Amino acid sequence: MREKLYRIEKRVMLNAEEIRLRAGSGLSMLSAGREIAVDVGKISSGELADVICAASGASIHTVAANIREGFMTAENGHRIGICGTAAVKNGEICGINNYSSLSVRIAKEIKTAAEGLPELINSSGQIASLLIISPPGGGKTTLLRDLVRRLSDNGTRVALADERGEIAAMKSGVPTMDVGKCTDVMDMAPRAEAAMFLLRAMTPQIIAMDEISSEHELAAARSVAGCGIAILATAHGSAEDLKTKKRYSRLIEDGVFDNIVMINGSGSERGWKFVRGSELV
Amino acid sequence: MKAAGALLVILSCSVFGLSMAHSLRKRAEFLHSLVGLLTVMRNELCTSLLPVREVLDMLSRHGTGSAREFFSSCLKQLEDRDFKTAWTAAALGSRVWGMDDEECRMLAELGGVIGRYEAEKQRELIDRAVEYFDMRAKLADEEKRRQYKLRAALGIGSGLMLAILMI
Repeated sequence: MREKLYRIEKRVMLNAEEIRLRAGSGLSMLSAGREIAVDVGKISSGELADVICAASGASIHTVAANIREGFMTAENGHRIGICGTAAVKNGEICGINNYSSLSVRIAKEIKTAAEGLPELINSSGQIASLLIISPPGGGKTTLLRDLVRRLSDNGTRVALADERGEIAAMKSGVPTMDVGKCTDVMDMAPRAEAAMFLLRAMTPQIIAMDEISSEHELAAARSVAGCGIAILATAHGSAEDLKTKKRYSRLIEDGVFDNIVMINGSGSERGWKFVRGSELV
Repeated sequence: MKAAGALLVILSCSVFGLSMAHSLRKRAEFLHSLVGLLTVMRNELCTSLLPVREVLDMLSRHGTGSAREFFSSCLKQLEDRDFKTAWTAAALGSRVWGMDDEECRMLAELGGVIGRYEAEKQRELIDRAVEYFDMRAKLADEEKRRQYKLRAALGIGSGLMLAILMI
């Protein structure tokens, strides 16, 4: 498999946002929203299993719980989505056999991602909460990571609830991505529980978490805000969802988030729009 | 001159006999230590869910007995090859500790198990290997008990016999 990947041109690899591998078919790269097939010959299900094994550092047991959820995070924060034949027990997926597709989302650290965003800390030292909204693959995590780094390097205590290990990409307790000097990271724990844990344990000024969506996670965000701690969070959605989906609009109405960043477009045409919560209410 | 020759014959035969006897001790000690370290490995992989590389690092630093060399050799080889290949190469290298072909093959087969399955499945398969090596360690003890003195005595005895014949 490694040899097949080495055949791909470096230029193609550098522009890739995602690599897709399909058993019985081949490999394709996702770049600027377009999927481009790359001729490396047919890939077998066994080779996909080898990719997962290698990505886990020959330690499938450490990521088994994530694989049951359909993904795993490799070293350096690359997220691998997994598809195959599900083994079901009592109506729940208890494992995946005969892997059929993998989608490797390449984690990129862009230290200019948050450039141009208004300051979240006002002159009196108050920190404003921020919700980043975009469709999947829009660059939410990259923007969140850079925001965390900037705030942290300015001396703000940031606690990071990194459920999928994509933001800080921890290795042996040390972040491999730059998340700033004053950031405390709890990774691989459910984000709602991690947020409450960090609130109790690390006395943060900001709690950051990726992709809040369930009622449980939104309730955790509400609890954190209720304790006077600012929140940086991301969510799947579009500008329209802010008006139509009550779960988000209520958070803004209740003042859990003071500001919104909406990411739109993809690749080089990607951009964002900053909106004050008060303008939406 | 004859006396010096005889002495040399006695000495070399004795050394040969003693080294044969020592290989029995070395083999038994390695198998016992392997059982102990594989048990630690199973616990760290299946209960603490530590990654394989961390467990290998821990065993090669803090493991007791000669089997530590096996884990440290595997860790070293892991730098430029995948886990299964590194483990197999280290397992085949265990012949120097007196392991026979079947034992080396059993140990090498574990390379296709460790890190490739969920914790419970790994526990089951490592347990089976631990049971096997424990049985082999007991047989090695028995063999050592029966043959250690015999091999040493045969070495020294044959040296003396040759010396007498020479003189």
